[in-house]
Amino acid sequence: MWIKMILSRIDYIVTVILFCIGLYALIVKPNLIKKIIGMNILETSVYLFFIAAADVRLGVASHLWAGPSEVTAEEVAHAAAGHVALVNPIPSALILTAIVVSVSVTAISLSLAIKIYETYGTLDTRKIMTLKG
Amino acid sequence: MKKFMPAILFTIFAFSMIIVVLRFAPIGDPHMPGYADFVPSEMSKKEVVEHADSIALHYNRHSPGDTGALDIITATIFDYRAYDTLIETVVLFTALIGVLSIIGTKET
Repeated sequence: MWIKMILSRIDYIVTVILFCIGLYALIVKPNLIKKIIGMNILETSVYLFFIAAADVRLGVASHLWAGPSEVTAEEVAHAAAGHVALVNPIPSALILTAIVVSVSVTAISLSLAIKIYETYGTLDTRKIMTLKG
Repeated sequence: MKKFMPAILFTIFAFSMIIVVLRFAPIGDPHMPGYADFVPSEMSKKEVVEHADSIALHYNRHSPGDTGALDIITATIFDYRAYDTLIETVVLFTALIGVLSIIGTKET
């Protein structure tokens, strides 16, 4: 009972574990580069959560349902009439936006880390907090 | 003790989140939020696909006729939500401006 309940939601549990690893690295690690890596792990866990929530078991993936080459008009009409279970397409579209935002945030963070290293000569936040000027 | 305090706190946090996550619908259930969460849970997948109505099922059914794109994600990104994709470039260019203003200039 419990095993089945956990195994049928294993993607969500992996998502939660990845989220906690990313948040741990983001908060606890003193190195700025490790903080950025933790932020990326956290974002990846959110992507995984959305894609897992979009799944319909034994449904056809929305970008594979007809195939690029062998699609016919009859198959299109068949799927459009609702006879084929299709995966939810909206989370995939949302995650594309989230990936763009993630790349932008990572670029800004890394450039700030470069500037901090040039100014202070270290990336350790404990040392940066004690330095003046 | 002080060294392990964050790990203990994050473990407690992870377990409380797992308890929440275990109340969700199982992976692959069509009764997920956003797909067919409002239909009775005893409906089978075939009935859900044929009778239920939501925005995702609307995209799945009508995207070939509406947009001509056979790939439903392409239809969603480039036709139904084209402005979202178009203005996404603003995010990228803002990030580019930020990076160039931080490290793009030569030190004098």
